Amino acid sequence: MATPGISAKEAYLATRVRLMADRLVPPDALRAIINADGDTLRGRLRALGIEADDPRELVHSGRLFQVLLRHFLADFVILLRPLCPGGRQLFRYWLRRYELRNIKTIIRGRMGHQSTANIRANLLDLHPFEQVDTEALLGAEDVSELLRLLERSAFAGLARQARRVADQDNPGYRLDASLDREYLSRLHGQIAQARPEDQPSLRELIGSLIDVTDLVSLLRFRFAYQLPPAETYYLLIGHGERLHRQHLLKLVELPSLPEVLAALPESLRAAIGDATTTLAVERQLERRIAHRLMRTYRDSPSFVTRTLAFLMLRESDMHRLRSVMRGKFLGLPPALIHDSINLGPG
Amino acid sequence: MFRPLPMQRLELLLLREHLPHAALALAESGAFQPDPASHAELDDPPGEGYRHLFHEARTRLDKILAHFELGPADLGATTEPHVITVSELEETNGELGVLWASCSEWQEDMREVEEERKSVDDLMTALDTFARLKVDLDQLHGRQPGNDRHFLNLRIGAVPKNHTRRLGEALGLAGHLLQVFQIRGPTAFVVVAGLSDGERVAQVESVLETAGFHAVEVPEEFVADGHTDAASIRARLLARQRDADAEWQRLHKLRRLDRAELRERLAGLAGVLALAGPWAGLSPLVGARGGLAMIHGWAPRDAIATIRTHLDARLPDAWVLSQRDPGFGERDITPVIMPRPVWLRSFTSLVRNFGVPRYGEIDPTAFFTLSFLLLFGMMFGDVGHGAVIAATGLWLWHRGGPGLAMLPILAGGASMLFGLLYGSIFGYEHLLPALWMSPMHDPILMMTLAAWLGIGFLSLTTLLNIANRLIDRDWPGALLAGNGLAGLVFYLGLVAVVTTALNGRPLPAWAIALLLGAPGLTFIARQWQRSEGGVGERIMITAIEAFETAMGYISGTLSFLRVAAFGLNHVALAIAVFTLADMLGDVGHWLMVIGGNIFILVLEGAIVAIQVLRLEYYEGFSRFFGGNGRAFRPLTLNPAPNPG
Repeated sequence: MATPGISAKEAYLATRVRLMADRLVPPDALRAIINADGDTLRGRLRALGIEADDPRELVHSGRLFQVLLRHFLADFVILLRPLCPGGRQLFRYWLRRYELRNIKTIIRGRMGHQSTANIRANLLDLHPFEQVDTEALLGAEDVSELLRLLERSAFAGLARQARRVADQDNPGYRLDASLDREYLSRLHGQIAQARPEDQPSLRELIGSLIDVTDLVSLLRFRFAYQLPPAETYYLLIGHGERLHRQHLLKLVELPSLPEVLAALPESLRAAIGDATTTLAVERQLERRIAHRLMRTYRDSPSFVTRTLAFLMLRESDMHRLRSVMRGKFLGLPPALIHDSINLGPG
Repeated sequence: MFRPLPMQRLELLLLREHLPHAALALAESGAFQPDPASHAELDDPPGEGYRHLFHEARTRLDKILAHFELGPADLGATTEPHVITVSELEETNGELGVLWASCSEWQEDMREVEEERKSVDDLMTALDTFARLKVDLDQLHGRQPGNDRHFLNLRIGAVPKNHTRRLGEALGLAGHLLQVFQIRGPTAFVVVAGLSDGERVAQVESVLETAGFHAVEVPEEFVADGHTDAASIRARLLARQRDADAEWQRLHKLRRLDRAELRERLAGLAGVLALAGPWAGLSPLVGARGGLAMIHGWAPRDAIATIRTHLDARLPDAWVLSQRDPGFGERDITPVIMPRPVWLRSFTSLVRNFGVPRYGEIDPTAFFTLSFLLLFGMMFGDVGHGAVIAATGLWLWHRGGPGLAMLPILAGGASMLFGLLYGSIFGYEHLLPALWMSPMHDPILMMTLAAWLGIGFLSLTTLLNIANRLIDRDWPGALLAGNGLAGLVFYLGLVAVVTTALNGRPLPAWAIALLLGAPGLTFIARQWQRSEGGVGERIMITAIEAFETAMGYISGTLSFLRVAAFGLNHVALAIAVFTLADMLGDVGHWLMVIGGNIFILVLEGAIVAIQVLRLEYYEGFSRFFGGNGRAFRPLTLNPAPNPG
């Protein structure tokens, strides 16, 4: 049934994103892949658009994710076209997460004195969405040269942040946390570019992702890395749907993980259930996010938010499929693979 | 002029150890483009280490050249051609590594100097606000007798503006306050204060470090009553600024000196890489197993003898070269060299903007050039303006040869020719007797001529498409398609129907049905046969395609009315300029005439050029020119490309 008052572009977007529903990988398909071998496995992969004579080689060479990303980017291009300029800007910014991943890989590789070929092998091809010249970054021989190049790119703000952290004695997780925080804060800021009617649902969707990042980071920084409350708080984002600044200010001061979990807002506490470790909390929150994304994709009044939720589901599928294939060829027991991707027993 | 040079597919068999010599010989010939040697059993490609080494060295050289703002042409000197060994390449790469390390250090120093300049600049503007802080900083410094600052942790400095709120809240957790006293651009200047107990101070330090806090020294000049000797602080900042400026100058001077000193050395290193480049570029394409190797590629038929000579010089009697004509199925991969006279070459880049013709396809450059000149002249006909454009071309020729210059020279010439026909010189229509007439004299005639020009243009492009389809042995495409013979007959039939109707002698219904129906049904049937899907979908696709074909001819023809419109527009703009000029005094009159002519020349000239390109690309090329050919790019000793 047509929704009254929607534009032709919105109708087109809604139709396209609905038609693409079959690109999502249902849990049964993942279970079937875990149990399939030989031609059956090749057939199941083919049904997902992955042509592979030797699936094991595809997984071990790391090309599987690149193949999945190619399909994903092809859909992304189609869905980007009917968006308004603000929506397009938001989506493009969201996609920068992959380029940020590449940049982190290059920075880490340079810090760890890895060879260029090694670093290159771990990069994702994002054509035509690259904002920086990856080859030039790979040509940088040390971190300072790399940061100089980044400071002249679309990632100048992130590069400045990285330089501050990279100059410190123990930059590892701080660098990751700083870059992620900077990226998610800016992504949240991009919501203001979208149409006013789309903003509340976008804020809810992106806020729920920030909640997960903030809570998991909080638990990790406070109780695994033993950071003091002040620094932990500074490394958080604070634009969450449920976890606002005031919550975070209180939570970082609590001395133990159970006390933090007990002090969470009701909806988050319910989602976490009986988890008692950071890893278990993360897993439960991921499950909650997956349900949330599916609900948003089906029911959100904003087609733009539905589309973003769809892309996030696609992204989640890519990661799950990669994990399944890796686990499978590493010879892990199916139950463990199910568990690692939050896949119920079926 | 209309067909590419005949090419040959080459297969070179030789010993693996001779590959670098062969690469050098092929590059010296400048006539060989390699292709992957696709042989399943030759799966042991050589030279991987060499290639990586070359790539690293090449990247370093490129960065160094960019650092010194040097181009390959600035280096000049060349190295005697010889095979570059791995050890020689390693040595070159090592030398380049050392050079780049010093360049990189220079760049880091320069970045720091620039940051210091910016920081001083920020502080200068912050100074007044800083001086007005209503805090007894002297007391906080513990300079007053009996006062001990150790109870207070006080920090003043700069942080990113976006993070001040979160930073303030984080510092609050460590019992400290944050006060912003100045914001400039992305930077906020802040005071952080709190009790100085060990644990809290450590927490604060850690947060500030993570926040990228840059401490600013509290000036000693602050006095107890909160006033400051701003002049001395400013003097200190100015001294810092002078130091930073001096360092900036020193670094630039150093780079200039290094540039002059290193040029010769860089030329030598670039020469080595130029000689190593052919083998680095060729190696991933070579098929090899054991001691045997195979190279595949393309060369112009006329250049095979040259290639043999160079191979003989480097590898006497140690190779076997076989050649054959490109197969029909290899049209897409055969590289293309279009023989072009000098006067056509400057139009080549405009054709290449659209694409390269496929091997065997008709080269559109000559058609493009002639139609470009005709359209440009007709739309921008003026002896004076054309002379200025042609003079600009002659100046370009004087500066850099005929390459780019022929385009403005010929376009200016066309403009002058039509200027003579229109009797127009710098917009004046009474100074020169028109050989034909001014466009304003009969706008309807101009429109009619433009429409006929469009009909001729579209018919010719459709004929070219038919010829290209026949070259491709695509008989149905040539004869039955909407952009083939059937489409052309339909179009000319449509022209006949419309012109006879406009002349008051409409054709009888059966003639119209025959002229339009027969060819129309032909290309509709062809489209139906090519379409896929269910019956409904095929009907829809066929109907839309047929409608699009018919509308494409009609809209394409109407599109050419702009040729007349711009011809008229040129005169109208000149009239506007003269009308304005007549309203002014003597000096104003001539200033307006000169300014107006410059305006017409620059703005209208550019718009007309863009409109002509639009007609060429969209109404012309899109009808017959695929542009998906492969340009011939031979191995050379030219150091520019980095085969990576």
